[in-house]
Amino acid sequence: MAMHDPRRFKKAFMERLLLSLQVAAGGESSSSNSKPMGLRERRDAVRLSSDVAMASARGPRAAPWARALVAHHAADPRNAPLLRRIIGAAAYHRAAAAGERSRRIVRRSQQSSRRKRIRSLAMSAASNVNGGASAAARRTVKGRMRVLRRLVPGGEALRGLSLLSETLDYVVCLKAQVELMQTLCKGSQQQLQLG
Amino acid sequence: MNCGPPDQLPPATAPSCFLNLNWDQSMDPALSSMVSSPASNSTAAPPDGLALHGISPQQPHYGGGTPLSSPPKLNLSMMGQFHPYPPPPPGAGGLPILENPMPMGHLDQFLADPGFAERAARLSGFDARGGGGGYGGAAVQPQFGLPDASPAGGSKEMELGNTRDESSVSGPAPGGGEIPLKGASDGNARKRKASGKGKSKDSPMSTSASKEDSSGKRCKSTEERENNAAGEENSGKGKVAQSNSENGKKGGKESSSKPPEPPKDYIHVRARRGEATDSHSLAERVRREKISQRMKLLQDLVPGCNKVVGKAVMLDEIINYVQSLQRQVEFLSMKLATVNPQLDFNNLPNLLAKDMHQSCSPLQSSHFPLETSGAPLPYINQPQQGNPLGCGLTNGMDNQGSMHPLDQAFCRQMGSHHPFLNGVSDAASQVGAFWQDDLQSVVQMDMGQSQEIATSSNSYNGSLQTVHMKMEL
Repeated sequence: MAMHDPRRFKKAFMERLLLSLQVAAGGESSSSNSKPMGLRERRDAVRLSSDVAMASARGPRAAPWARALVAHHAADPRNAPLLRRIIGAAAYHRAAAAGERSRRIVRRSQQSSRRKRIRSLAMSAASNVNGGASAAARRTVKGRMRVLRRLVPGGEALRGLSLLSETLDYVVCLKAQVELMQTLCKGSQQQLQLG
Repeated sequence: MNCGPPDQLPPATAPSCFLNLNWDQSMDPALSSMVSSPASNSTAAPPDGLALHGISPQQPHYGGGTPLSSPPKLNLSMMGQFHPYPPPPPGAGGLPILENPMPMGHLDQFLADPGFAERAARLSGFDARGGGGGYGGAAVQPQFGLPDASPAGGSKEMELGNTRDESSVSGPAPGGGEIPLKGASDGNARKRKASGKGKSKDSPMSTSASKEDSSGKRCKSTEERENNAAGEENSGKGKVAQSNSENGKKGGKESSSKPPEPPKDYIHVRARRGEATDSHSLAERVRREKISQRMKLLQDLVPGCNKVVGKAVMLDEIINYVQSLQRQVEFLSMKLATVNPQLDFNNLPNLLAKDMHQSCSPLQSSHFPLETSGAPLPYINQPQQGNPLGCGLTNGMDNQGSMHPLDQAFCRQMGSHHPFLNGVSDAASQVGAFWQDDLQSVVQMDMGQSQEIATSSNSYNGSLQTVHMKMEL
């Protein structure tokens, strides 16, 4: 739905981004008024808000990576208060639980796949000692896919085709995120100069 | 989109839940869909169970609403009903009986299928043999390679011309291209799926496909045209070096061993000669083909990825790009935290809108050269008119309210840019209307970018539109 209309997606993204940033700022001023956030905390807050805004604009149901992104943030207990404010307590709990569950599942699948990989490596080493160029290329591609899996949120659970689809979706949204944040930066700088 | 109108947004002070994440399903199904979601997306769509073998290009989930998403499957199911073939016309490839079970009318429809033509054109870049094709509809012809001695030759040519036109229309302008594409594909009896890298062909065939020779040899095959004569298989593929006579023999064997049977609805992938035909091989081929389709889309999306060859290098580029984007997000959040220590973006959106406007205005000169030369541009007038531009609309409003002009501009349809010109002419008198026309021109920018995707400010929209366009193919 969101991807269908990029303009609408971007607009929704911007709205949510502004809202969640507002929440982050409001939480800072209200709860920890005595002790202002440090730069790093502020950065994390901005990061978190923009990620959550992106995920929610994309629609967590439509895109697994969006779910995984929120779950990833929810896994960090330091993010809990802010995340609770942004997406609500119930959603936060669900996200945290989902993150835990998915981590367990992924861990299990990683173990089994590692075992399989070792076995297949042994088998291929036994079958053809000089794997040749194509085998090397295949191994390279596999390694790249493994790297990609770490980059895409929720990618650990994905393989080949699904991983590529997720990457496609994620890259599009990431691009939008970068652009909107650049716009915000520029606006803030102008504001700074004016004020 | 479930974002309400700006005035209905929750107040900014103490919200309990701002962003509705739609977690209304338990996470177990969510998780399982996370594992298997792309596959389930493709299989869930058609009711006829055709999609298991993935004959239709899988629509990525955000292309789900595209007009072309359903016709392939539908057409495929119709395809089965053609199975008791009438005798083929003579002279199609010099093989009177063989391997040409479909009447030429079907071939015409096949040729006239714009989706196929376009996909073929698009994929021809990958095809080692399609060198002369280019990206126009011209790529279709060498692929088909019809001997053209058939009685239907004239109409075929006409249909080919049609195909060309339609593909050229739908190529550059996705917005306008949807409609002709949809209409044509609806009218067509079938749709073929493009094969990634010209590797496999899935032809809608009933079970007779499995009776083909299964030598088990995997060869890269071009897109299948099972109703074509055997001769162009050789010309098209070049990897299977078989003589015409050999093809004829085999074709004869095939057609004789194939009784006209009632259509079945589950086999869509037809192996080329010399390919394994067991279900695993077919599924594997379909999977690989989808993967290469994704790679192609990613290639279009990632800048600088166009020129690289090879999957590993392409993946490298993609990884670098994703990493750079993530680092950029990191950097930008740091920058935002530095520049705006209070994280106070309340009165930002006016600046934001102005910024968007300014960043887009240089583009205008490239997109509307006539307008820029003729009329004074609004953004040139802007400094003279000064602050009222931003303040008049946004000062009285809060954060949400100031999104409103953006809303209007975004929601407005960008049919032509005449209103923009009008806005330019009386811009000096009316600030408000002038502002809105500006925004509209910003939106028009977005549209204009579908043709020319170069600049960074709006490249998101442009690239998305290209992706979107590809999705609909």
